[in-house]
Amino acid sequence: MGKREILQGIVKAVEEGDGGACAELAGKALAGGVKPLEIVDGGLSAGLRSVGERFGRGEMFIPDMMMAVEAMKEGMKVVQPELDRMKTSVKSLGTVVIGTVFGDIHDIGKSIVATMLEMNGYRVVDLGVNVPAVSFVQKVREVRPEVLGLSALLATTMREQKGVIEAVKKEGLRDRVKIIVGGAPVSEHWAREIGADGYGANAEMAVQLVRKLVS
Amino acid sequence: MARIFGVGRGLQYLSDAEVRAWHHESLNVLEDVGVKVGYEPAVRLLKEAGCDVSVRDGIVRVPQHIVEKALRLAPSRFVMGGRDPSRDIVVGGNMVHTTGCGNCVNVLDPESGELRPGTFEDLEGMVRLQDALDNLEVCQNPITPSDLPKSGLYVKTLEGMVRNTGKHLMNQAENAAEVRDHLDIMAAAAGSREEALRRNLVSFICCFKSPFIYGDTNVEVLLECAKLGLPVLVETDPISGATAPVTLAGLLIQQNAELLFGITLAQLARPGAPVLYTHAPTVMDMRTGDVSEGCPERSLYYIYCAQICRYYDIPSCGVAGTSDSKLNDLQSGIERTASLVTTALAGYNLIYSAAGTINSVLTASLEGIVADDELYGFVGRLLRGVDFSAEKVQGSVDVIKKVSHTGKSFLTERHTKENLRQEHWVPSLMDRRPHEIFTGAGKKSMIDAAREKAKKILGSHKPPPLPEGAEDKIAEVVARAQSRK
Repeated sequence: MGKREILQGIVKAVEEGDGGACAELAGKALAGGVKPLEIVDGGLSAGLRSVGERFGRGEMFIPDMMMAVEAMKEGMKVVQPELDRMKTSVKSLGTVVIGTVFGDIHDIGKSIVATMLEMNGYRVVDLGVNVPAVSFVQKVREVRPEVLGLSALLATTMREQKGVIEAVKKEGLRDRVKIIVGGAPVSEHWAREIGADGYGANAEMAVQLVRKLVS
Repeated sequence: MARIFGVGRGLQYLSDAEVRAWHHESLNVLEDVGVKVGYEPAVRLLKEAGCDVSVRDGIVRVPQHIVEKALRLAPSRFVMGGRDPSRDIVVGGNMVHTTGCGNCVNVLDPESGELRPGTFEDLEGMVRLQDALDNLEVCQNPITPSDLPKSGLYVKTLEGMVRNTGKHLMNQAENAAEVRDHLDIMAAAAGSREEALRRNLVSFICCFKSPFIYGDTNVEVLLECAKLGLPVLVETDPISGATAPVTLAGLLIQQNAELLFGITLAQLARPGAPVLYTHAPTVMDMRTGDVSEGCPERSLYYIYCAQICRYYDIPSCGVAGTSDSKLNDLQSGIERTASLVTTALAGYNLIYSAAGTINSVLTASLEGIVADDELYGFVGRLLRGVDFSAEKVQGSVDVIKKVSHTGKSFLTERHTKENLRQEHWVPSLMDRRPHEIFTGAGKKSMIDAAREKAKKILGSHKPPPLPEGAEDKIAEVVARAQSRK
């Protein structure tokens, strides 16, 4: 199996959301002397780009995309140690810390946003659900993200978004990070009222928003 | 006397054998997969009843005979009473009933028409408006007001509801203490705690997370309601492809198992506890991740679930007649009517949370509420069917013989005058007049007419007064709830 064939195989594995094949082929590529950055550019990322384009044309759907990102990550697990050893890294457009606020255990919307951001070249640190304000603050201090994303599904829990923004302010971190909010009951009006930097009505708008805030 | 909105006509897709197969598949899943229960007293109760509680992950697996027994214990029908007894309804059997607007976040401002967060004042206005609209039979908390403190929020909303309507009230609670607050308020409104309990003056929505997660606070609320004997809407809202299988059959099996679990839990807390099999299953639009409240799959779910609820002989409740449209427009009209008609014809017992809402049940409007009262009236007429009783047939044949070939019409017959009010539904908003009159009246659409009607009602309608001293007692309960940590 030649280099071109292997890279094409990786692209196909990402497109099909086949993590096992992705990891196996990435390993084969490394063993065959392909540079890790080339595996990323010509294989893993190329696969994601292809899925992204087909998603844009309405030929692929959110599950296709989420599984493509999962598969890409399986491949990255194999390539990452090599990248670390060579002291290189894959460029990202910026880092986003994301999570569902305290008292709320709904994860679907937040996870779709995280995937869409990863698809579009951002590094995402997903803190999961029911995340206390203090954990958001800690993570902002630790990874210094460009953007902090707060999700809430319930009219009662969305108030916690305000609490997180206040906690970030209190710790003197507010001017270091843009804060965006989302979730079914959240609105532009609410985002303004609590002093967020923006509101994404769905995953696509969240990506546009991050692009605008980070550029 | 119990009011009847209409009688379901049993629209059905499955054979009896298929319904039983679905039931057994659900029982298998409940026994194999189990439920994660985040409230220790409930876990204890389930364990004592003979459920298998995994030491490792706390998951409760329920043997089939326990569920079967609970299904026999759950009541087939029960009253959902109002402080004004003429507004009582009885849910169950083949009767179809309705609630008003439910659980919205935003409103269309009555003056500007602009979208903004809902307030306590909006809530009171909507409840008072609905009190005057007979086709919306139960009063659910229409919005979560943005201008109330978080502590005691639902108890405060109940105060806004109870003083503005005599109908049965439906709300949520944060914990067991708030359930008792609700009962105290209804006791003050009805004169006694016994009366409030006897006619079930308040019911509670307990919504659980799919797949199979019964979190802490709602389980606490469910158990407290069951112990008191107040009706509980045991609800899950699975999303096909996201929080449930993408196959509709898979979703139906999962959500049926989820609801059987909640119903069983209530029966373990108190045999005979009144429960409504409640759900708002939906699909995710896989192009965007947006969750649809106006999808045709929702109607299918309800047609199927109406059948299984008849098999269980347990009242069913669902959010039919909703729309994803951002406007009170054609999309909204299509989505809500298609869903409402099919769900009502299927015989779903309580159609809830939908009236007056758009934007996937996030936005409510006064004009939307009035327009839905009209739509519900239309659907109510469908449900009443045609009266083919011997008496009606005889009278009709007599008048056919009398009028035919005489050159006269039926308009001047006493038979016509005496029967027309029962036979014909008379719209109050739908415009059937000639184009010239429509033009002359300023080309007003149905939603314009609804807005005017809402204003007129709010300018004059007075809900039945509370008994003397009740307002103070209620205010005390609210203050107590708001000061609770």
